[in-house]
Amino acid sequence: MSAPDVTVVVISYNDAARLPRALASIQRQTLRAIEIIVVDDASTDGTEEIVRRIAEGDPRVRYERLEMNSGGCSAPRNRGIDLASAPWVMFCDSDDEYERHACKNLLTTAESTGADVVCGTAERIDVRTGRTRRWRPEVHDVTVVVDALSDFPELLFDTISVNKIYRTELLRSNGIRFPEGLLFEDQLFTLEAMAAARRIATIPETVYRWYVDRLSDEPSITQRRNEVRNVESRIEINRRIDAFLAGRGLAEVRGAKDLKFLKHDLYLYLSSMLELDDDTARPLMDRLVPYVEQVNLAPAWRLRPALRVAIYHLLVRDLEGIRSAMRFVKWASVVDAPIVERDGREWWGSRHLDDGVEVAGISTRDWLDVSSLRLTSIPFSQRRYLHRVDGFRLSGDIVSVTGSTVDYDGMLAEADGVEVRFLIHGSQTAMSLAGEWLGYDGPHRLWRAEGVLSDHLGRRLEAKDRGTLGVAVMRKGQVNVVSARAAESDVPAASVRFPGRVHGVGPDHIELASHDNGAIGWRAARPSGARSRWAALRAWWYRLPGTTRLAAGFALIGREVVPAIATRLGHVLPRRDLAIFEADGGRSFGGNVGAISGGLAVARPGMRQVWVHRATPESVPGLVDVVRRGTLRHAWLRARASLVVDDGSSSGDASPRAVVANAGHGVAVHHVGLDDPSVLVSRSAVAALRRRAREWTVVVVASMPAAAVISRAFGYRGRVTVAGLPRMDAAVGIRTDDVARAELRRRLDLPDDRAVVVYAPAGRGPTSSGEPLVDLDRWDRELGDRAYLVVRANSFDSAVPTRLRSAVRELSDTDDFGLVLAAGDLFVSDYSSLIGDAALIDLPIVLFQPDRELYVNRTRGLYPGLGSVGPQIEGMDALVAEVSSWIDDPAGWDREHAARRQAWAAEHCGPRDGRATERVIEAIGLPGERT
Amino acid sequence: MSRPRVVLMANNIDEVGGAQRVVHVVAQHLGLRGYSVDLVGIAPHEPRHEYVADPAFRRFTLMPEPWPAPPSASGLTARLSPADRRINAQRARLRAVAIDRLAEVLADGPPGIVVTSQLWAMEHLADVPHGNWAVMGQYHSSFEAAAAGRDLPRALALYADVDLFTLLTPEDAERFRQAGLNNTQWLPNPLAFWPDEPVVAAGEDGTGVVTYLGRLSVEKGPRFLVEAWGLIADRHPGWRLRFVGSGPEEADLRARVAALPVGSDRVEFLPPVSDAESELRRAGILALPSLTEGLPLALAEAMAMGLPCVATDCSAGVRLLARDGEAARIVPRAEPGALGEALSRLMGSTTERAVLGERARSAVSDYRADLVIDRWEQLFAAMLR
Repeated sequence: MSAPDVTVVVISYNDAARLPRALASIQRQTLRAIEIIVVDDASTDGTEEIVRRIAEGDPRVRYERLEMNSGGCSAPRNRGIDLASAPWVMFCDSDDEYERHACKNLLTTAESTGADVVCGTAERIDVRTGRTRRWRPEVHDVTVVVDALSDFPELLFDTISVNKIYRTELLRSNGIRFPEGLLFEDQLFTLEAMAAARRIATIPETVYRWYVDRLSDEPSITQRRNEVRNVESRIEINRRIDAFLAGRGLAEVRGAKDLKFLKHDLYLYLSSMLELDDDTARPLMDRLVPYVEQVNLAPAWRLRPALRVAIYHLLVRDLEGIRSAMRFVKWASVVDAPIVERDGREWWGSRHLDDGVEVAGISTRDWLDVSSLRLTSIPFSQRRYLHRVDGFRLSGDIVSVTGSTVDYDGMLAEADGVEVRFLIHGSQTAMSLAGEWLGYDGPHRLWRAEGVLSDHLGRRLEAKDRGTLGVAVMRKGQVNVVSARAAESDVPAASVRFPGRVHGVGPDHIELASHDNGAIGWRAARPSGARSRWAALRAWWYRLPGTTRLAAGFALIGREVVPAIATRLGHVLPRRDLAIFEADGGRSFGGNVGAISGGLAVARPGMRQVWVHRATPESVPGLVDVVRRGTLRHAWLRARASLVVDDGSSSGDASPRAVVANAGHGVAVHHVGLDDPSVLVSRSAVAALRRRAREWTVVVVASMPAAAVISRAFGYRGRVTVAGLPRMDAAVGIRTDDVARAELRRRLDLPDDRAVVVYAPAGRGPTSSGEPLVDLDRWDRELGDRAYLVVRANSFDSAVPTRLRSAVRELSDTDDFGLVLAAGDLFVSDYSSLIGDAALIDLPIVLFQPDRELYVNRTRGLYPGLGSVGPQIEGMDALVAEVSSWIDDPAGWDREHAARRQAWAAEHCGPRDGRATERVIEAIGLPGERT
Repeated sequence: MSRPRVVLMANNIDEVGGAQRVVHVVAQHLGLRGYSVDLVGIAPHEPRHEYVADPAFRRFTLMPEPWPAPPSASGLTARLSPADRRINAQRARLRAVAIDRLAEVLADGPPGIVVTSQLWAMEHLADVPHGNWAVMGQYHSSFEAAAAGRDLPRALALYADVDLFTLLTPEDAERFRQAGLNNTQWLPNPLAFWPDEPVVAAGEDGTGVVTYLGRLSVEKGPRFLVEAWGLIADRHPGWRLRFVGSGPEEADLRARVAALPVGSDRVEFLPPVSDAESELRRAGILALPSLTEGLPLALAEAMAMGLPCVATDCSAGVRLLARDGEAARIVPRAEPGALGEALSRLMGSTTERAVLGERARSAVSDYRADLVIDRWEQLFAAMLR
């Protein structure tokens, strides 16, 4: 074995259970030339035996024991530094793991860049949920090499010592050691090492897996935030860091460090005050204030406004004030204070607001100014109300819930109704209890809800169903739904029976429990005690011999055969007055197919319409008859139908005599992907689509160019009807009718004090990396006062953050996006086929295409001529400028662009007369009337 | 450092093709540098092509018979059809034989480094105990191509733990890193030859040949070259277009050529050649109209000979070789107009061809085999630390 390149110091104290996992991850490093020193902080649990046994099989492992327990991480790590024989040293904790290539990636970077310290990325893994998050991703985006910490002070945000490699000689010659007797020892150590380094590098590769058990009975030392020792250590470390920085004259670094202290360290303590009782929180506050008073507080204005408000309340030692502000920060932007609006500014309501006192040299008004959140101008349905549940009673099957809602600007005085909802999948309703408003208690409006639980899901609750308790507030036709929070930290662990369930099969009651964040969770539960009948049945099934189960499995062949028989049978038993509809693979009831369904209902009222769905039943419009996709009934109905209208995505065999109308196509903007070998689509997928195309008897398209695209892409040679866009028929009328438009905006709850900009990016293929979309935070900052953005998300990973609700809203799952366009004032898109819809109703359009070259060349091609519909711009700066110039003079802006847009629309979008549906119905004929 | 034993694995090592040529070139150079090299193909192919006259390595093919194509049906139908069952049984048997044979090859000497040049090779190695070996995994297409097909999840699963995973370009290595792998590096393929004499820019008198060298298949985009030719042929009466290669698109291409309004009489189809160098010596311009590529060897070799080239922007490999348009013209994919214009400009100017050819040759000198093999040795050393 050659001399080791890296010494890995593993520290452990009474962790014999997890230490072998850590060691194994180090032993199997792809860098083989390592020395592994396990420093045991005088464990009493057999750690020594375990390590010695491992060392027998691997000469690289060495055991070292401290004589006395040191109670921290510093002394064992320092011992490791003393013993290290390799030119490089790394650290690992007994409960964590190294990524397989960690040592090699850090070492080779150190060698190739000449850095003395190299930082890799750590992943924090929640051991209970398995959820993994990168630690401080902002400093680990790409490889960075700097000659001094002052060139990249943000490195300080990554304070841990375990994701780094250090030149052993650097530590020894500068006497850099972990401070003993303190927690957060990493912070000072890392700072001193980085300050001494002649070069520092960071790499994006993951090197460390940091297992975090937030709710463990024995939280690891640094996680006991509420302990006085913890906060004292934190402050002591910060004082030492400040002294160190002052001694070295590192002023730039001090600025970054103050920001880091406020944003991360102080944030943790302020958050914990939500959970701690007053007697624990007050001493914490008393110890924090003297230190915070010395910190340069200017960076507080770079934090989220509510966090700054919480810091203010810390400085004036107002515990309730801290909690109320931190609820906004931690609980998805719920507002727990009256908002004072004066002279166009908004302040966080506080008893201190008008006391005229300066705190830390800054006026209270400045501290509490939250104008940038625009809390009072958020449309009602988008507001984030704080609902507290303070009573939960059961009598027989009757549930009664009482609570209150913070009415932060008096909007709820005009509220009509209130309901307590059992939310599922985010904001859908599983069950609800009707409620009534009671009086006010200060800014809190009180309410009570009562009733018997029954489900609204359209199906039985299943054992896996769970969600949170929410409150729905109705006002002038709008509904606002936000999760409720328990007034005290624990809700009564109630169990509510469900009437009308067959005992023993499936859940018959729900159980309530409060979450860490105050939200109230519910879950459907099976009868307690005896095992449910299903479980018993399953257990019995799996006790059967494999061959028996296999034989039974053959019976499942029926699943393929029976629908086939139903289909054949259906073909010989056609129904002349049955029409079947399907849109977006059963997820939608709108679009062109929806418009045609509506038109047919008028033209042919006697015809029975059935929609195929696989959406959640809640989104099924009330009067529609539905059949679940893929069921036997679906095959049967489809086989018998005389008319099938879909958007090309449906499945199943229609009767050979039926009219099969494909009406899903919009205006051809980007390549369909089938007609063009330059788009990488798998051949089998193309073949499947083309097979389906053979079933169509008529295809509805917007215009002649679209017709050409469709027949080329699908190899379709049948009848084509050039009709326009049925889905836009309603929008055409509304767009030019100011009264109807104002009414529509009220219905969609869009603001009337600002322009409404609709943004719909096209979906990107699987090869895209990091989607360049509109920067929503920037929109909020720079345009939010003047323009409200409605986003239709195609491939948005996350919903719009709640803190941006005053400027940005997501409106994605509506079936009639045409109406949203009709209500909007400007349309922004890149390559979406909705550009055609917007052009049809003559909405001004901006093409925001930051990845144009990539999209055109490598993802999807565009059909030529699109550039006529509006200005094509690439960056966020240009978008802000373009939208601003439109806001300043919409008419003048449009004079420049209208003519070309209208010419393009005339060629591509079909006639703008609102009669596309009529043309389609005429073209497909009325089945049954055909001769 | 004593030289470790090297086992180089590829899907097959017998067929005529770029991937096969690369592994032979690497095996030969490593062998000549004193490594004990075993070149292992998984499935045999007839007829067998000899790439190296006097091999400095041992060669093995693991399967006794060619690997049959999978049955067309799947699911229950395949399980019930006797023919399909036979095919599946045969595949299972061949795979078992291959695994056993591979274990024997590995056991026949001390452990060292095993290189899997394709995913299928790694899928075999994964089933053989190889704990004492250092593994270098390779992928020879672009990240985009992997993401568009089924390779990406396979590569992520197979290569996460190997000592080193090499891609052909820095850009591809970075994309795979972003996709979650922490062991990526880039390692270009070596040029099979480095001509001492560059070609002389042909066509002083307005004549010359635009050459296409490669399979005639959809993803190589030959039909866009035909369309481009149709747009420019009448401007350059002294030039010819030559397709060298065969493939499924040949009939379709011939039909497209015949349908061209002009220039169809100056298009010719030649069968594939094993000696690319002499074919390239007869060319005036190389055209690479592909839709997907990795690091295309035909382009690299043409550039090495000082031939002016026009290629599509279809992979990080093309951009790397062409130095973003400096050392070879780059045009958008699937746009015959742009391809035609780029070709036409070069066809019309001897000077431009000469300048571009000179830049091309110097741009690819980094991919000379001896330099690339130096990089292999550096990576070997890093893997064994």
